[in-house]
Amino acid sequence: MKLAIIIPAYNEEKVIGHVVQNLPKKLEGISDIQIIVVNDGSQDKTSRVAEEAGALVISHFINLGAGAATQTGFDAAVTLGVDIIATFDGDGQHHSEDIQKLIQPIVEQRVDVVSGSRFLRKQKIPAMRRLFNGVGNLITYLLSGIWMTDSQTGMRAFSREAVEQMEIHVNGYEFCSEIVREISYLNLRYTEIPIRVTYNTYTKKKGQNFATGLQTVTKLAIRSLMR
Amino acid sequence: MQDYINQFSPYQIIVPFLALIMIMKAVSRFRRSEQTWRELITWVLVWGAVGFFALFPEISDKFANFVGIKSGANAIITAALVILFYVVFKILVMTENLEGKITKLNRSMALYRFFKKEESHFDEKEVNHNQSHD
Repeated sequence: MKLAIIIPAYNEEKVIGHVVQNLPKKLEGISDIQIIVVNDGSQDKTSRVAEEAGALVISHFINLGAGAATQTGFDAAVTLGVDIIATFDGDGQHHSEDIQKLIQPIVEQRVDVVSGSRFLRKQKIPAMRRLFNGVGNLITYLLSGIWMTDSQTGMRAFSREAVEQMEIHVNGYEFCSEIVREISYLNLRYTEIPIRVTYNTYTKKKGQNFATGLQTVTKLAIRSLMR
Repeated sequence: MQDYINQFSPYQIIVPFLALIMIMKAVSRFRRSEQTWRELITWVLVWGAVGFFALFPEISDKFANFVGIKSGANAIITAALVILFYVVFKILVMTENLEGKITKLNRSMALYRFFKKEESHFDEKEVNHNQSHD
């Protein structure tokens, strides 16, 4: 089985090289690993650093958002003919050791989607992030009917068939909730597994904050009204 | 004639005149193909209504009675609000669609460039491989 690890990245030159180099070179049940960094219109050297670290790099001309970058990664991975597609954050908050656990249920063909959850194990997570995630979970539940302990996670794995069926139309962080809605709509088999995260000053600056959170909620609400 | 004009308040003369100018401007913009049919019709209807109700305020009172609103002015403001909401919603949908199109274009270009590069890498490898065999 072939695996593609997609890393959406926007202005991550400081950490992206380290993130790419730290990813596993071999995994059980996987014959080939492709690392795809989707450089989402970065103004820094993200693209070059990622390429030098050994990743395949796709560059958006302008910044579109994490959702759009992930979609581009999905399209590339499907065209490259991989069987499993995993997403991984570019800011270094995820641990590469968790990838084996993440893809295992798909390798064993038990499920179509595996979601890595930061909240299924005890670990240090800033209160603001916990609160934000709680709100995100609630909104996602209202829109999809699925309760996830970590609806806003950036670490997920999908079977190729699942990715081919999913239709994501949003560009920003609201794609996290859209994925859950698609899981529900397409009746995909899914599971959550606990993952580790590291929050430092760098990762805290990245990702969703209160302002982008509000934006995400507004966009999701408008989207559901317009459907 | 003088008596007839005196029946009108300045508001009843200025506003329809302004509306007429706006409509004329819209027509001339349409003629210069700077406006679409839809924009022209919307503009003419909106300014036409403004001019018409300014000229015949008693009709707006009748309309207000008909829909159950106290006064003509209130009815006009309510109608204007409804129209504004509709226009804002329309613009919202349009920007969403535009964003979608830009995304599609940007992503296709990125993917095209990526696979073109990959292809040439593959060709290079094949050439090197063939050369080493020669």
